[in-house]
Amino acid sequence: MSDSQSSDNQAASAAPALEVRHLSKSFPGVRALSDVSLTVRPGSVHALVGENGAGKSTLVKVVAGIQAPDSGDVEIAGRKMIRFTPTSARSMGVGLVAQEPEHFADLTALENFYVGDWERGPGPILDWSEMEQRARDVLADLDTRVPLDARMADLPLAQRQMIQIGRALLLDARLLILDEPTAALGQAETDALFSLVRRLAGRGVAIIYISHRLDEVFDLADEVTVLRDGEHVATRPSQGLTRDDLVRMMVGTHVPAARREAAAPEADMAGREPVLETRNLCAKGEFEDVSLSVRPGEILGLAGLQGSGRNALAHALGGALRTSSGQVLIDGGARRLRSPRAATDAGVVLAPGDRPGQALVLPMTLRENITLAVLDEVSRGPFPRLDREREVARRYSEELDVRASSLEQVTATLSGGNQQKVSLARRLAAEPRVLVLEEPTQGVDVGARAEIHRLLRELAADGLAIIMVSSDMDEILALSDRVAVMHRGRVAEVLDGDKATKERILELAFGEGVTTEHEGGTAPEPSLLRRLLGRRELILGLVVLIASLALGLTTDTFGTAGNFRDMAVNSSYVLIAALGMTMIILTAGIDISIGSMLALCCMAFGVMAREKVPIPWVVVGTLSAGALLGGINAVGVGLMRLPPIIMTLATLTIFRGAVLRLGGGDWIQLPEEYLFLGRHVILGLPIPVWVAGIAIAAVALVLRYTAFGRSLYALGNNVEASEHLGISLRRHQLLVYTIGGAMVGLAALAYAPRFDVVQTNSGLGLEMLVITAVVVGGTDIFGGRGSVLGTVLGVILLTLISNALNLTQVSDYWEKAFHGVLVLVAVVADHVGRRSGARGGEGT
Amino acid sequence: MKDAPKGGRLAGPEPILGILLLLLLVGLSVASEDFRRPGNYLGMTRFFVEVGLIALPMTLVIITGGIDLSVGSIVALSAVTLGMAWRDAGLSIWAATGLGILVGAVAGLVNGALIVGFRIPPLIVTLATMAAYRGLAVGISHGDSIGGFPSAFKVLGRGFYYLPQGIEIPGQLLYLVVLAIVFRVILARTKTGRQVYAIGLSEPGARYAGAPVDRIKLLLYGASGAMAGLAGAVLSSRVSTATPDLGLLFELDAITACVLGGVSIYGGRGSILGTMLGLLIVGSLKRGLFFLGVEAMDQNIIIGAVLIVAVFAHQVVAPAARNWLAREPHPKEGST
Repeated sequence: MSDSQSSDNQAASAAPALEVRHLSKSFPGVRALSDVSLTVRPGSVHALVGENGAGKSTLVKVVAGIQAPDSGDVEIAGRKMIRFTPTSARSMGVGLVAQEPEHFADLTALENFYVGDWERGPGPILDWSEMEQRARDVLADLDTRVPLDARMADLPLAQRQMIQIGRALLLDARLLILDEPTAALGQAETDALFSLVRRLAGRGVAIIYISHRLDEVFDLADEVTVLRDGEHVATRPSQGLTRDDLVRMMVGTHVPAARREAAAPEADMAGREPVLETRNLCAKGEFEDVSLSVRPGEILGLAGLQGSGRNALAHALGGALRTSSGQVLIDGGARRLRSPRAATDAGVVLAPGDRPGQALVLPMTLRENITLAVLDEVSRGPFPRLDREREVARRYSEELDVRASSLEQVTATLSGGNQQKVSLARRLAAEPRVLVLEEPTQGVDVGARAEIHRLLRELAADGLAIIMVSSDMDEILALSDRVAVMHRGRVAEVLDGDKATKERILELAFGEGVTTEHEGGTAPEPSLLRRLLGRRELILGLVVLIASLALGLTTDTFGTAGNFRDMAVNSSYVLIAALGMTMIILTAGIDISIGSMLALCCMAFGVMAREKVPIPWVVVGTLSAGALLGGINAVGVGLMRLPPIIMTLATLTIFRGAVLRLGGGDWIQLPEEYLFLGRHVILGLPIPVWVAGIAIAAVALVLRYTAFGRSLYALGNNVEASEHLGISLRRHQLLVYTIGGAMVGLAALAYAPRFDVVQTNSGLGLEMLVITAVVVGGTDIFGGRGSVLGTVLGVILLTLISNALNLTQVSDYWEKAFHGVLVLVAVVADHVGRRSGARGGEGT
Repeated sequence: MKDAPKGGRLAGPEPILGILLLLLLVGLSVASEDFRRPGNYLGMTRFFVEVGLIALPMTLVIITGGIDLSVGSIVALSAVTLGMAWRDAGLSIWAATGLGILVGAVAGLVNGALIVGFRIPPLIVTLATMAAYRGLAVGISHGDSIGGFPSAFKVLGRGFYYLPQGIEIPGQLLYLVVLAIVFRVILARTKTGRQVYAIGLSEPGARYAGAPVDRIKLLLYGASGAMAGLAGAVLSSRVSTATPDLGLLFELDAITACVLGGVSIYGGRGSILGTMLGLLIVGSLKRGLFFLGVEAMDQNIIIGAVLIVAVFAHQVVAPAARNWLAREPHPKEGST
């Protein structure tokens, strides 16, 4: 290790750790990077600063292989990056610790170290103790301690970041990118991080450090690069640089757009009553104690950093975010803005910044988008009238000068600027008294931006009150009568238009000079309910135990060895199928064709037995039949990309039909010599029970100790992050549905030879039984969470219930209904557990 | 700015489906003597009207991005309720029918409440209630079949209407046509219909536009249950018995009709006309195969295959083709 490090150092002194040449990158409507060049030496800390939207994040995303540039080169330690994928960037030694680290919430801290780069022991088996040792070494090296067996979601952000850093070091990163690492850290944690960064730099690791906190930049960085509007402004040694220099470079010397004339003389304005006022408004975890007001004709700018609460406040006013306390007053009267509809009715309309996601329904036409929120006004009774719709759509699209070929053009095909105008047109059509805007000109070209600004001024002059959230300082300054600056969920100060300067706003937004009591990093203790629900296996084990005791005490037959053996034999095939289903559901998939699949495998078994195929070949043949049928589902889901439910619903009927075809519609009498597979007893237990036991061990081993097994959990947790780490969803879907099929083949071997005949209706309803067992066993129907133990306990519980219903002579007609209810109870319990724990560790 | 042209988003597969249906009818008429009997063309609709009734609300449910797998079980539950209310509780047959439909509606509302209230995916909720409702149907009836309904009840599933030329029209076909028109008007002509599309295309987008998303979903699943209840009544009348195994695999047939008719399984696209064309194709195909001596189970193999091909064609092939056709560069800013 130390040898290779010193030689690395020498090689590194020859080539820069990172060389970026003439990098450009555009998104629709925005030029994010324009001809940016940058050099980072090994062993140096290079700070990257700039306002929101200056291009910092895009730059590091390109370097980390998450986005490909339009033009320009990236060289890592002298080697040119050819493929811009996260995997290739990592293999070249780039480690990225993102602002919101991509993590796998339900995996342990240790696993998060290794996802996608599973270390192998001898053979394909993961050597967890070795992996844990290496992780501990790295963490000790970092001087931190993280409980490696804790669920990632239960860890505070600081520790999650440490794991990201540790992961990068484990992979021998020579260029480490830290994107606003201190945004959520307390003072002590920040200090620890700084000393770590210095030590890493001392070891020759090159570090790119992005921060909004200028003090940190001076504290840490050897060099500083300033970006503005996607362009490289300057790279300077941090020594000899002053704060003022830095702010001036960030802000630019270009003349700000003409300051807006106040809509009305100060005196007149002061005389107007506020149309909207908030009193101590709070939304838990988002913002607190916000008291603001806006008057007719006034534009109130809301400035602040990402995550300062400004966007949450806008959404709360628009009725899209629940507030926890405080009041909103419209014209002096308290109103509850519970939904966007209620807010609109109160005269407050929000234009969200997320155009494709929230502000518009992009596949709809211009007309439909503009009238969507005012359907009542353009309708007679329940029927929207096309002529009135067109009239409204035309009026507002002309007022905003939307450029489109017709009112029936699909909104998605418009440019960013025109989409934004359509969004505003819809809001204006609702004739609001207060318009809440979020990033009104983001992703909009210069011409449209000027038009939108002019429009907003006119609207204010006509008496509309406007609240505008913007990351664009020039926009805030050009339009606002007053500027409220938010910092960490609170309004730091409200500046009058003439007192607002870029420097002052930045200062307030960054919170410099202001000591905050904020102690980031301590996750709230998960609630008792949550912890209990998190121990599903424990609860189930108890339930099984109590149920068994109750049955044993109340009935004579339950406690007999014979009854236990019968239960074990009867449930063995269900258990085997459930193990396959567990794997499928872990990837957030589902297979409802397994009942028909079982029947078909049994039929294949019967046909082979009837033809006197030697037993070993019958076994191989039945397993292959299962794998083949599973493979059909795999092709549909993995290759043809059909939703699993639709694909397996179709194969459910196809397979069931094939059963009759294969068996000629008749039952098959099994020859005597094949029945021993189902009836032969070894050491007191029939073969099917042994098969089930071996299957349990095998699947448990695969899930816990192979890269494949762990990747299933990773995919179920976070598909996008998994793909970034080189884990392909399609490949795993292909495998997992095929394996699930093979398991059904195995289940058929544990089922068919127990009876004299193979029936055509075997396996009817098996899918529901199996899904119930798996879900009750604690496997999350959304994927990513679940265990073999849970599934085993789930099957045992269902078997007990069925047994109890038999013994107590409750009609087993009810059993099926009960299974359905049980699934719902399990899923709802999961949901409640998830919600009560949702805030755990998410602190920002 | 000009008003026309209309369409674009809604330019769907209906014309192609119409041609497909015609070709299928001609092909089956040539191949089977029974199929080309004059009375068959209208008469055979008797066999798939029940699925059609279910496919109508299913179309709206799928357009919002949801699904309802429990409809087949609701058919059984409401049929059994109807039968028992009439036989055991002594209600008049029409009061019992009403009760059956009401039970269906309640079952559907329960689905909707679970989906909306707990934000559980519709797939899971209706898969679970598919088992629960079927189990309930078996449980309350103890697996019995109930028959011997009064002859007046035959009107629902065995009745005829006559056109002037003496052409017989199965009664339930008229109900389906009327209800299809109602659903078509709701989907294509009302505020709610517009919001249904908006929910499927972008649920947050619809919410931010003030659409009552939760209420609409609740109502749709309720309507789905009610229509399944009606289908249960028509079916019990047609087969003259109410048993808890009625309506098996109806969800498959209804979803196949929708998807074949161009309803996007991911939501946002589809029409009642398309679904009805899909229904006619699936129904005629089944009937034709029956006349050609293909067994029921083999018919299911074919229907399953049709579903896979239809989803694949609509979800994967058609979008690729649309993209290929729409390769023209986006209009530049400012060039009208």
